[in-house]
Amino acid sequence: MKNHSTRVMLAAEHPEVRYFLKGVVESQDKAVIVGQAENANRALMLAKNLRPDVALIDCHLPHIFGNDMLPLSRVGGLDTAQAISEEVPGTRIILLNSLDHNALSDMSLTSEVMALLSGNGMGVALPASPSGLVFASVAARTRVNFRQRLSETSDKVILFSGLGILGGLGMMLTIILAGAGMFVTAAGAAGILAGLAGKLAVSLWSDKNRI
Amino acid sequence: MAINQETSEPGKPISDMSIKRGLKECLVFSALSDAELERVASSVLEKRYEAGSVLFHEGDKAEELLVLLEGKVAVQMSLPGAEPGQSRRITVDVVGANEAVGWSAIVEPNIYTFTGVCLQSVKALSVSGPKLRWLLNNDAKIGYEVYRGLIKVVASRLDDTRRVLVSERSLLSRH
Repeated sequence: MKNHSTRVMLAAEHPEVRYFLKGVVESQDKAVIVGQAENANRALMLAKNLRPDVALIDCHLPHIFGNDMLPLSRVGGLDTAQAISEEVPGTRIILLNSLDHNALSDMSLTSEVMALLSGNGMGVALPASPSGLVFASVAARTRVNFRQRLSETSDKVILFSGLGILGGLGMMLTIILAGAGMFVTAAGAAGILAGLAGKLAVSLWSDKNRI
Repeated sequence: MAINQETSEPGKPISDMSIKRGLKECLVFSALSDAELERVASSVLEKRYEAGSVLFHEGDKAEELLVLLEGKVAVQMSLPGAEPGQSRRITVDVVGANEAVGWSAIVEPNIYTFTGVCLQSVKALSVSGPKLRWLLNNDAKIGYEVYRGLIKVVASRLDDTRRVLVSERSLLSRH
């Protein structure tokens, strides 16, 4: 463990969210993960036992009971943050209130949260909420996820293939019907223009789907 | 934890058109005509709250009904804890844009039955409880339409609470 590290606990329902948050925390020089929880009950238990400096909690955290995996509430992040705040008062809590689970690979945490993580978890002046918790959002540069990217690529391939086939057929018909060099040149120019128009259409389509 | 602190900017006057649009998109007021919305709008102010602010506490006198324009509010109820004198909060619902919270302001005995905590920065239309109650008592058409819309909100909230409580009973019976 790094010397004088900020000891951080993570709580998020989905493994990929915990993986993402772990990467963000570990990218900080003076922060180390000491525990991870997938539900509210385990988060509270870990916080009591490990007494971390910082608890990073996703708002969408289920209350789960025993082996039945019975969710009491899917939005137990706030409840958990309040309970930890009362029962482990030394722990600073960051509640992630707008985490977009579909764009994990493109996200970065807000600078305030990074400051808290890198500042030894204590003594860093942050705009505290009236509840004493730090409410943090995750900034997403884009919402295009893997499935959308795949669909976008397929659409591009289909569009360019279609244009190519049409251009080729046009050239063949021109040569067969007219048999003159001038017509071939005109058909080639038309093909180039069609290609450029297609490229522009794809580029506009792609931009429209980004936020 | 200092959860009791409430911070909000003082009510801001906004245009009647914006207020009416905000009210119209909320289920409680959606059935009202333009003229009826105008009468409700006369008792509305715009308010903003930081994330973490407590809008109202369970058991407090209900003085305002809030229609959210932006942000999310967690609706929480207190449950007795394992130790005597202890209690813990359970989020039973999350209310978002175009939804109403604080309906106790127009239902007797006008005591909030839940606590509302802002999960994000919130912009809301605050409808004065006493003024709205007066309007509902004195205009039967507005009263009927608003209470009809309200019933839908209450039924939905009741269903969420019931599901959480059924799970809680299961939890308590196994310990």
